[in-house]
Amino acid sequence: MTENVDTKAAKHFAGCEIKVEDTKFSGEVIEAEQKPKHFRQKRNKQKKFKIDPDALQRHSRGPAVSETGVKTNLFKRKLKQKEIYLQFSNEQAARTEILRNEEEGFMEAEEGECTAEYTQSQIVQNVDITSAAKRFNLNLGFGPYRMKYTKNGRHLLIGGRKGHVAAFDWITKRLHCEMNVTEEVVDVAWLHIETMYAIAQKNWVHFYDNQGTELHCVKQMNSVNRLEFLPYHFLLASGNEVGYLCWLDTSIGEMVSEYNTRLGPVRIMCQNPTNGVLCLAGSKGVVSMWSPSTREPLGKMLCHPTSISSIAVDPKGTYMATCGLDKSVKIWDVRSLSGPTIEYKIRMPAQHMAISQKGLLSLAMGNVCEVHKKPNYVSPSHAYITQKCDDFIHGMQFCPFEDVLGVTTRKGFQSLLVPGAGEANFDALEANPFQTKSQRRENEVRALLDKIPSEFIALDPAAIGQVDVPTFKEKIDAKKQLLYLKPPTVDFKRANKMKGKGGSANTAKVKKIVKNAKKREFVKEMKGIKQEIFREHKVQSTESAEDKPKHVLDRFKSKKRS
Amino acid sequence: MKELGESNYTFDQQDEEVDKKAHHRLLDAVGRLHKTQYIKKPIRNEPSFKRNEFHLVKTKGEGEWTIKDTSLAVPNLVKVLQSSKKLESVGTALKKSLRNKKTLQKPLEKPVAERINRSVNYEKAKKKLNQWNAVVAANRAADHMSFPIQKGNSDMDVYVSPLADASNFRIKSNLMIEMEKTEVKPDVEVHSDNEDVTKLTRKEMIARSKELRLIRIRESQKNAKARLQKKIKSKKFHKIMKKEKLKEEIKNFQLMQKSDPEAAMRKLDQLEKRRIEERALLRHKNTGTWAKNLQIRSKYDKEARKELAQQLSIGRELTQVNHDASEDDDDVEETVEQSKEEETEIFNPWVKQSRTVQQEAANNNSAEGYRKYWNKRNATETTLKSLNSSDGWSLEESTNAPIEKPQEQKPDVNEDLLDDSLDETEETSNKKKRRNKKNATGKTLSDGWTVEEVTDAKPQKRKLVVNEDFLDDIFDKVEETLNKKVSRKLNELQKSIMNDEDEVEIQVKRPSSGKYHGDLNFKKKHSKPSLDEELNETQLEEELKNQGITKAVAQLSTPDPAKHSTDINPEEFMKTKKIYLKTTLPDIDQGEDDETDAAMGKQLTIAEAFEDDDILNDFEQENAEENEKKKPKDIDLTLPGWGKWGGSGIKAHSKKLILKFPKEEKRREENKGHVIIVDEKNDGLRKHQVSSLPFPFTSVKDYEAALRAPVGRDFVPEIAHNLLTKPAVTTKLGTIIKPIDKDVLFKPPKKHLNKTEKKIAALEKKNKK
Repeated sequence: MTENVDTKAAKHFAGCEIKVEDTKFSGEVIEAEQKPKHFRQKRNKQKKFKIDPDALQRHSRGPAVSETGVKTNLFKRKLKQKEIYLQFSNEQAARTEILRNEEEGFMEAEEGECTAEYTQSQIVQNVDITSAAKRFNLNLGFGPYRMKYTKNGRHLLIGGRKGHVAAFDWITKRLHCEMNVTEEVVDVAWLHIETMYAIAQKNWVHFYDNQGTELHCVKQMNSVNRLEFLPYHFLLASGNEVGYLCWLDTSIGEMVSEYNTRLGPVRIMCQNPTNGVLCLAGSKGVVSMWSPSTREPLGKMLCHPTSISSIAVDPKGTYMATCGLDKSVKIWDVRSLSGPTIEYKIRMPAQHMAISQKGLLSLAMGNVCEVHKKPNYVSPSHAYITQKCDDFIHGMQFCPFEDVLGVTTRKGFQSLLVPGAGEANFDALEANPFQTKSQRRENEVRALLDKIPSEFIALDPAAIGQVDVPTFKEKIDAKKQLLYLKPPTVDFKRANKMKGKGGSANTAKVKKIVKNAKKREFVKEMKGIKQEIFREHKVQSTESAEDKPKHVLDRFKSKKRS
Repeated sequence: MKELGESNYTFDQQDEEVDKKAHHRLLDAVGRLHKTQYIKKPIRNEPSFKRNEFHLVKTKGEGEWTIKDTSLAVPNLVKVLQSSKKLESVGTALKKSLRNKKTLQKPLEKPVAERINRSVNYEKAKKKLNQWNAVVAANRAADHMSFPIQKGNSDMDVYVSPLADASNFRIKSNLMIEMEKTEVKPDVEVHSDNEDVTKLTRKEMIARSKELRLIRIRESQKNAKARLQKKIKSKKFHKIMKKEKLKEEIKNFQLMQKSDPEAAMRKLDQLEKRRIEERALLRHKNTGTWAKNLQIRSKYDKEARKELAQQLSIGRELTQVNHDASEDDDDVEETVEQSKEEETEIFNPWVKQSRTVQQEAANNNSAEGYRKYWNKRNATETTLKSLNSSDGWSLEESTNAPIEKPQEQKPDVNEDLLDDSLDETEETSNKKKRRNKKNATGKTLSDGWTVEEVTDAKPQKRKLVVNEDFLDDIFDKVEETLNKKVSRKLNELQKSIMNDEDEVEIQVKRPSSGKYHGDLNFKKKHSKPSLDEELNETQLEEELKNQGITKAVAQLSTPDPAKHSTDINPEEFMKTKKIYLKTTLPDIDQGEDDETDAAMGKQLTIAEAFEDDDILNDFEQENAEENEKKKPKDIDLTLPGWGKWGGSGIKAHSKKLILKFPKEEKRREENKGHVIIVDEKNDGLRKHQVSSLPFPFTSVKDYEAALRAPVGRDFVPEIAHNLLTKPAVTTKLGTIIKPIDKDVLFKPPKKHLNKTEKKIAALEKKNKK
């Protein structure tokens, strides 16, 4: 009886099963008729999403407008409102970071081990199949190779010195074209899409499409050593054996600029992706930055006391790595041209360097390829990954959006797995590794519409948003020119002459009179201006007493105490 | 004549007081004798509508007469009046009035008056216009305006479906046109009504819809009540109800007889008709006492049987007539039409009401000519009887007639009082009543009804009436409350309208104190007409802004820590340690294939050997050259060779004209050490740059800050992009954008904020803090 009741009660108890031990129960059970209370689950109010202040900082666009520099109250109010909108946009941008759900990670070694010990084959064994497929070796026999990945990292272009050129989708290993140009191939570069590429051959630069058909031959770019393509400006930049730099606008087929750097043959060249400036490194240990619009370098940096062996700029445009023959690798802040922030000493100067999207630095020394993480205090001296290639390394590039490092050697191409190298979250509108054909077309049109004029290439990419204020020197030059101004020529024409009122002699007289009057007026005006300039800038004659001729009566003057 | 009179007068004066002035005046007058007077002296005339310009009074000049001097001057008049006894009182009255009354001021000259008028009008207009200042300023400052602004306040938008509209533009075939002609257009009225609806303002619409709702509520209440009452099964109750109604009607009828005898007669006719109809119903075929008696008699009497048969045959005939085909058809048509109308006009109570009245009339008409037989037979008998007898015919009209608002019913209507109030002319009715009273003792009437029941019914009636009252009370209460509510709301509305007007007046007064503040000046706070809460808010905003400004100024005055940081030499700051990496050495002989590679090994040693030697020096030299290039050079304006000649012992004058230009004080920090930045301007870029500051900006820094953030879709999130690139003005297609309404001054339309707007409002709040 009691048991029954108890079980009932237990059942009644809001769905919770309570086991009642009723063996020693002797009392009377009063069953209270209580309806089971169904507690409605409180709706979890969505917690207010707190925006990461770091993210806010990352997305901020700089300090707001102060009201002091704005004229009326109406505009002050309007600008204030705009600032609020910008703040909102900043917050919104910071908020969107939660959409970056992909995470990148690095290999971590167990105690007593070092990641550098892991060979590629070991890594391949421990990764998934798709990643494992990204590690491959191409043994090719056409001499030292150069290579480039496309912007989205999907396609690969390799060119061997002995004329072998191959373009392929390296992930699916689908070959677009393979050919021998029967000429020396010095460097290769993709154009804005994967259907076209440029190859610097023995004499000139040739353009091919992905079927291997030659589209164009640019003879103005001759004996080129290095090729770079600036995707936002649609410029193909080349460095010459003689020291010439050329920029070719590939969208309109026009040579934008071409001049001599007077630095000797261009051997080491790379681009700064943020501002489109070309960085050249020379034998004098100086890195110089060039734009097509000025014939002088925009800036020069003395990086090494010896000649520089390699140079690399990171994809975000914040750091530049240089390696000199002094066996040191220096990392510079390329935005402010300051540094070095870090200096490494290595055993051999690196003939090639590459920086990945996540900031891994790879060095190629002879046939050894080493990838280093950012300075690591635990084991700073050890590399992250080391790989000995079969031959001397001639080119190296991290594949965008992939944990892959492409290395070209004298004997072919190697694709190395470097966990944590690539950016995990890609912006499909910017560079989409899974681009379809229609997307590519769309993107091409968009890119053309968004093309940045070549004049905008400057050290500060935001220069276009700045006000053109004359420099100090320009102001003074303008002032100086005032001193040498000539009176303007007077184009005198006499008004309609009535018949019989003075002949040509008379007109000549009048002309002379008018001219003189004008001249006098001008001179008078200029005199005032000149005197003002003199008064301002004339050197005060500092004639000391010794310079003056001695007067007879000077001896009566009180003598100075020495 | 006049002059004579005047001279007399002067003489009189002289008699009284010999004065120099008077004498002088006299002389004047004498001297003027021969002069011509072009403007006549004023003479008191009979008042005329014509104003003669020659009656103007000449202003006082030198040696000229004034009205005071004349006989028309009031004191003189008084004297004259007082001289005669008859007019003495008039004279004193005049004198008194003179004492009391002040002369009116001279009217201003026309241009002066106009000027004053203009200035006053200007002030008025200014006040009126200044009301708009805040609204205008707010609208100007608003980054986004969508027109039409007054969505809430504008007239109701009646949605016309485009399809319906489109049908109007369809080209109709001949057949269609003909079909349309034949088609009955029931909703012409509705259309006109709709047009009226569109003309109504919003408030009117609301009031009207309220009214409608009330009516509907009342109707449903009444229906419910009727239904309830109908459900009551007690026959007595219904009897009593009938009686009551009848009584009421009688009362009304009597009153009507007094006020409008013709209408009373008509009513009487109507009643009779109704009674006849009732009688004619087959219900009474065999239920009346006569019929019953006849039935009993027919068992034994042949004639009676005959009569009964006749009666039955008549009844049959009549029933046959009822089922006449033609009539039926008509009926059907009618009902169809009615139903149609009802369908179309369900929502139009006005139309409905009018139709019900029509229907009634029609019913009455149709009732005419119906049952002549019974008319003939009963016409003479029962007209007046029916009125007074408490029973006799059922009141079916109660169901037919529209239910009226229940009046407060007094349960016991005193008949005596009614009787007293009766007219003398209605002797017959009175007599009958008296007879009834007499009968009330216990006699039976010819109808077979006992009057006792009437007396008995009274207490019962009371009970029931109490019940009924209870019901009535409920409804009445509901009604009352509703009425109260409605009246209260109406009052409130009126008040609010009045208040609004008052407020406007107040506000009109207010701005007079301040100046025009079109540009939201911060300094003067009071001047802005605070029309509403939101407008007050703007004031607050301004105060806050002021605070913000002061804060900003304070911040500006305080030294910027960031600036300090720029002075720090980064080289000292960031002296990096060299990190020695244990890189693996290549195990390949690289010197075989490549010339460059081969050179590398040799270079290494040489480079190491000459490390730090000339490379640094070279760079320094370059740097110096670059710096030198940047510096403005001095100009030596001395003529070459001037003062250089001469023999021995002659010293050249050291008068050199050299212009020294200031070297750039602030050298770029970057160029000091290992960096050279060439400052040469990029002419290509310069073409695209802004060279002069656009209007609202006065500092380069602020202008650049205003341009610093991108707004494009590629750079900011979509929502932010939409927000930042929102057009300043959007208009709704196909709407008339009317000039701004005055309602805006009273009540700014409430905006429903969406998510982003809420966020922005929050940000604004945060920024104010």
